[in-house]
Amino acid sequence: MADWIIIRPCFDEPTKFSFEWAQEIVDVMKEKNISHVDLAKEAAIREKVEAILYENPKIHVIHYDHGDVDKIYGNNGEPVIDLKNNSLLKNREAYNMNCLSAKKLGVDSYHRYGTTYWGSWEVISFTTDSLDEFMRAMNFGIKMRIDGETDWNKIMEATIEHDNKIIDELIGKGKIFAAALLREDRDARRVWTDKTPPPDQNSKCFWRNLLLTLFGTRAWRISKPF
Amino acid sequence: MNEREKKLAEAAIKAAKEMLQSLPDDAEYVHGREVLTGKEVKQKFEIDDEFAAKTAEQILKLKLDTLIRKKKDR
Repeated sequence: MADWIIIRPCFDEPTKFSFEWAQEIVDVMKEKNISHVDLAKEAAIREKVEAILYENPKIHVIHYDHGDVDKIYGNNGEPVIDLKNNSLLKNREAYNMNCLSAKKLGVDSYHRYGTTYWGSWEVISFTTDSLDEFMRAMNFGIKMRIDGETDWNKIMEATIEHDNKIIDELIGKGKIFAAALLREDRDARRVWTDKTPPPDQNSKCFWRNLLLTLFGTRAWRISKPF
Repeated sequence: MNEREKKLAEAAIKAAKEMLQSLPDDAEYVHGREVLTGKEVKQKFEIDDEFAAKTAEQILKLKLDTLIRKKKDR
């Protein structure tokens, strides 16, 4: 049984960089003998992701790049996880270095399936004159988790502090644009946990809204409210 | 736009341009799936009002963020 699945497509200019960043995570896992499944490049497709998640009920998920509000993408440009199969994220941890997916996919996965979801609320930006700094920033959270910290809120707190150090480092080097982008990336990051749940939202379903009124956000985890 | 607003806008544009100068022409700016060279970013700033406004906002927010953090550290 593996502990982590790393999904890292590589099919365009941005994913060339994110693929390399994820390589660092794979290397750390190898070094520390942490069991993992590395779905790289052509292997990073929906069918394989679903199969691994079915076979490994306790595996956690890492995805490095391209996402949208309600999906994260694979190597063939098709979603590997979206609102149709995110039940597969039930009770898992999902660490996302992709754009926007904390918005709907993260919120839905947290509410319905109890997923601890780390991701971005906005589009992620970086510059190639500061690749090392951005990689350190993007990988910090998951490296801390691999090192044994299990409290994602503590990881978030430490990651923000770490980002601040890198922002100051970039300013010190005169890389002001890169620093401004990392500040934006920092502020867009979210982690949905029971301590920091997503903002309240209403359902389109009358019955679920009724249950939400009665039982609060726990009502999201009732599979069929009527 | 009155005189005061013009002066503020000029200051914001100047700060944003200075910030963009820190990005080398041959480096790349990646924003989601969009990739522009440093040179293209500077050109976009000149012709795309929305992008220019966002860039000005970025430098102001960075400056403010740095000041707030320094004040907290004291």
